[in-house]
Amino acid sequence: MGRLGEVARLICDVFGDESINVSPDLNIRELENWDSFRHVNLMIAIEDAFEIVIAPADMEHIYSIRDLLSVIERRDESGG
Amino acid sequence: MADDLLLTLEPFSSLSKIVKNQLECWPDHYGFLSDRFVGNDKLFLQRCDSVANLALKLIDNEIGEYCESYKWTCLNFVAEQKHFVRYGQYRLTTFEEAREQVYDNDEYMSRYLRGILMSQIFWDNHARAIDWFREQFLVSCRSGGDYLEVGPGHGLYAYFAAQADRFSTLTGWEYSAAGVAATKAALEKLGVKRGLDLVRQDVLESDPHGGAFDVAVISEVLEHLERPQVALRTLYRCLRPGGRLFVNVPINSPAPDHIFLWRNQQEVLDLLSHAGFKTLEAEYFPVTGYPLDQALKRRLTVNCVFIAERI
Repeated sequence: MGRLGEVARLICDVFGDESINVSPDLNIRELENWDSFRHVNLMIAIEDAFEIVIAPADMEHIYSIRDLLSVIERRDESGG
Repeated sequence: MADDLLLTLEPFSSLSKIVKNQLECWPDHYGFLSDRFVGNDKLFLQRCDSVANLALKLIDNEIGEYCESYKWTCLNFVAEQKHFVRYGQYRLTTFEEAREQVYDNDEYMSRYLRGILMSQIFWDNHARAIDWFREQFLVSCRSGGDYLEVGPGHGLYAYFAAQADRFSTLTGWEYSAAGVAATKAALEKLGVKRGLDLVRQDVLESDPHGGAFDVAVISEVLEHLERPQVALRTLYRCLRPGGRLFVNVPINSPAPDHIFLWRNQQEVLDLLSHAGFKTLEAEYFPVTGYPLDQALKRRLTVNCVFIAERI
């Protein structure tokens, strides 16, 4: 499973909806069940799956799947 | 609609001023603040506006710093929330840890206290707890009694107690000399005319002066203690028989200096009854944007407020 596929699986899991069509342009905050606490749960799921730590200040700026992927990619760039 | 929030607040000048400043500093907070204010009834907003007016007196001409500190505080709370979701516990469990990481760090404390003051306006659970204190508790206290508040801090509760003009004496206990000085300064800014006798006193120790009170107030203090039951026993001993206790305590509320975790309302009710109090009234205020059942189910913060009687 590619990175986008893994993120899609986590989003469907956290939001309890298998039918979410996850693309890079998807705005996570416009999902029907989105709220700030689910956002935290998603970040925890991403941290665990990709073995990264997402700072609260970065969490604030994550709107789209593209934002999320770039946070994950930063780990690769930093060699983490 | 993008202007719903500002339109809702337009009739309330202090709320408008604080919210506009906060949005300039943190535009992403718009959704949260809309959840907090849009759709509230006007009388409640009017009372919130009077609290915002007091907050502005405390803020003085430092609103930018307060807004920055509020954002910083919220981000710290998010970090604590992450820990709580992951491990099911608060990050800290001892007072010593809280002292090292929070209370003894002047820079941290300064920003944190500013943020907490703003939360009295912006967080539904905090705003409704103050409102319930004004509208339900104070009016239920008989005239002529002696009032004690543990940890008056920003002074908002003490201000309303003084304004109620029904107590013979008002006393405040602060844990540290710095706390006494800060609350004194806050009450001066608020223009509290009737003196609150502020003394340095640890609620975990017996009152050496053997003070006797008719009313005791302890708001957002017990969760900072390792042994909250000892604090309630102190208050039990201080109160005259039939005396009234007001308690405000958050459950499932991860914060940088919260160390005692209650997971549901019953655990707090049990604590009160074990300390010898009979609960007369209880109300539960969930975190902004959630109905109570959802907040409890998802283990989100709920402020539990009680009026109890010393049997």
